[in-house]
Amino acid sequence: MKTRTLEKLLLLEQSGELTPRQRRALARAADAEPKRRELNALREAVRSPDVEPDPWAAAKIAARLHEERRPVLIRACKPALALAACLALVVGIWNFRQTSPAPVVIAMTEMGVWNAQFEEDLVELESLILAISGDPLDIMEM
Amino acid sequence: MKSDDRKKNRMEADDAKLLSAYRKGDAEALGELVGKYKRPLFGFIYKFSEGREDADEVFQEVWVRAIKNMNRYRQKNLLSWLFRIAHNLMIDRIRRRKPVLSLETPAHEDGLALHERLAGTGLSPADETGGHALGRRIEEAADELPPEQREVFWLRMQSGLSFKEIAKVQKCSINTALARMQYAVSKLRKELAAEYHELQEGGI
Repeated sequence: MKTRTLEKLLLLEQSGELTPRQRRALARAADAEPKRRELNALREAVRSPDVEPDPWAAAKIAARLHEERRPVLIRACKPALALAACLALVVGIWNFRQTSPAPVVIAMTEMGVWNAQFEEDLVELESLILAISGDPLDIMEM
Repeated sequence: MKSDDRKKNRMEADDAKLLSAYRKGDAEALGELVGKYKRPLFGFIYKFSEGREDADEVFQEVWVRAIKNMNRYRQKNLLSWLFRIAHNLMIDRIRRRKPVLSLETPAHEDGLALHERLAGTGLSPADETGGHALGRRIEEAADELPPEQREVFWLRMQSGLSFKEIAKVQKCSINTALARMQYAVSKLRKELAAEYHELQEGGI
C-alpha cells in the first residue's frame, strides 16, 4: 500500500470514518502500526486540556441577543407608530372641525332673537343722537 | 459506526428540541446548548485567537450570529454550523487585521508589539493550559501552516471533528479535507524531525 493511502486510512480510522472495505485494507497493511502510533501521539501532544469559555458566556449571549432584538422590535413598530400618529392627527382635525361651528350657530341663533330688540334699541339710539346733535347731517357724517 | 450514527441523530434531535424551546422563550435551553458544545468550539476558537478574552468574545459572537440567523439554519448538524460561523468569523478577522498588523504594532492591551510577544515567555494557549514543551513546539510549527491546513489540523486534533464535518465547515469535499490534513501532518513531520522521532516511539 502506498504511504499516502496508508496515511489517509489511518486518519479516517482515527476519526472513526473508515468503511468496512477500508478497514479490511488497513488490517492487511503491515507497516501501519508505527504510523498509527505517531498519529495518536501527535494528537495527544497537541490536545490542550479542556479549555472552557467564561462561565457566564450563556448569560452574556442571552443579554446580547436581548439587546440586539430591541431595536428590531422598534423598527418593526415604526410603521404602526406612524400610522397611529396620522390617525390621531386626522381625528384631532375632524373633532376640531366638528366642534368649532357650534359657537357660530349659537351666536347666529342668539342674533336672531336679539335682532327684534336691536331694532327698537337702534331707533331709540337714533332719536337720542338726533336730539343731542340737532342737525340730521351730523348723523350722516357719523 | 452505526451506534455513532444513532448517537449523532439523537444529538441532532435534542438540538432541534432545545432550539425550538429557546425560540419559545425558554432561556435555559440556550444555556444547555451553549454548554453542550462549549469545549470543542471554544477549544478551536482559542487556537486562532489572541488570548482568553479574545476567544471569549469570538465564542459569544459565534452564538449570537447563530441564533440571529436561526431561520437560515438548514443543516442538521448544529456543531458543523457553529464551526462554519466560527470559520467565517476568523476569516473576517484575519482579513481585517492583515493591513494594520506589523511586528511593531502593539497587538494587545499590554502594549507589547507582536515580535515581543512571540519572543516572550508566556501567554500562548498551550502555556495557559499547561501544555508541555513538545505540544508548544507543535503549536508553533502549526502556526506556520497555510490557513486551510491549519484549520483542518485544529478542527481534527483539538475539536475532534470528523472529516465529513470538517468538509462541511470548509465547504469542500472530504478528500480535500483529508488531503489538507495529510499536507499539514507531513509539513509538521519535516519541521519537527527530531520531535517526530520521539512521537514515532510513542514516548510522550
